[in-house]
Amino acid sequence: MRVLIVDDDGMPRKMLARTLEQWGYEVVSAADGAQAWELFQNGSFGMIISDWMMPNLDGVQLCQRVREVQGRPYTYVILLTSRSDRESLVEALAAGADDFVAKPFDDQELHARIRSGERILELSHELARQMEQMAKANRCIKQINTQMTRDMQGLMRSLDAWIRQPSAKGKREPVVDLRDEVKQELRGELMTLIDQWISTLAPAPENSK
Amino acid sequence: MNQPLAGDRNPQTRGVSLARVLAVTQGDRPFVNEMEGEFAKDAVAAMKGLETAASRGDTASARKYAHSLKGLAATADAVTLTDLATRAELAAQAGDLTSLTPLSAAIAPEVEAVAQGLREIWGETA
Repeated sequence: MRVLIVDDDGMPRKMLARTLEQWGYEVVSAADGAQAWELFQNGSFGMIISDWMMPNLDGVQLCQRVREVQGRPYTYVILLTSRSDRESLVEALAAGADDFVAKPFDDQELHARIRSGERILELSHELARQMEQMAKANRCIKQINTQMTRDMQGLMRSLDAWIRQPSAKGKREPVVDLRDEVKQELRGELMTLIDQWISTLAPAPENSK
Repeated sequence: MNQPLAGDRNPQTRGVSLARVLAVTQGDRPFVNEMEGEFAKDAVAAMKGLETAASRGDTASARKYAHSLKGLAATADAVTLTDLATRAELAAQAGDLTSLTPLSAAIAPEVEAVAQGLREIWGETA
């Protein structure tokens, strides 16, 4: 996974980068929120781990901008902070942060939280894949529906024309003949529906013979 | 092969514990040197910023510098400096210049002491 880390202090930023690299992540570093925003716009990151208090653009503001971006895979955001007061946490959550880790971070805790974030990202990506499949299926259904509507309207017109013929009165066989004629024009996936529809036709009343 | 660092033998010097740093750096001396340099650069900048802000009565800026210093000190496990920076941040947050000014003055020599401690631990001046 590609991780964007953001901290205006070099030592914690580089130590975090080294730690993440040791865990097998691909790391890109930014020295403040503004640089991180530039990198985010031009790159693809599964996760952002950002300091909170930074010049130019702080961690919460960065998070807000990231959340405003539409049409990209979800990016998991962890804020590194020593702020633990309730108002600050509410502010960060409202801005779209997914998690917090206290500074200086504990290795095991950070790793566990990153893994937790990865699981959420995997679920998010799976959900996105399924939604795309559903969208494709929906488009397919709409096409079939359009085709069925057109075909059924054609069938109705044909039947209506036949019904209006005096010679057809009381004869069921012509319906079957007409069905066969229409079948040739209909798509294969509609045949079952048509057959079912015809089978539901009530037998002609005795007095119509 | 990397030579053992002084900190490997004596990880507790001048209130600085580098167990975490050494675990992360895994004896990579160039990286260790880089970290020492980063700490000195950032901590001195934050310390000077704090002093200037405190002298001007700019508690908002003072809080940011103290917060940055606190994070740096905590990363290096510099206990005394972390405590001083935390108190300075709280004083700045409360707008308490009476407390902030002496704390700022106490932080300056502590930053230098920690930087020196780091150099000793990492074997650069031994």
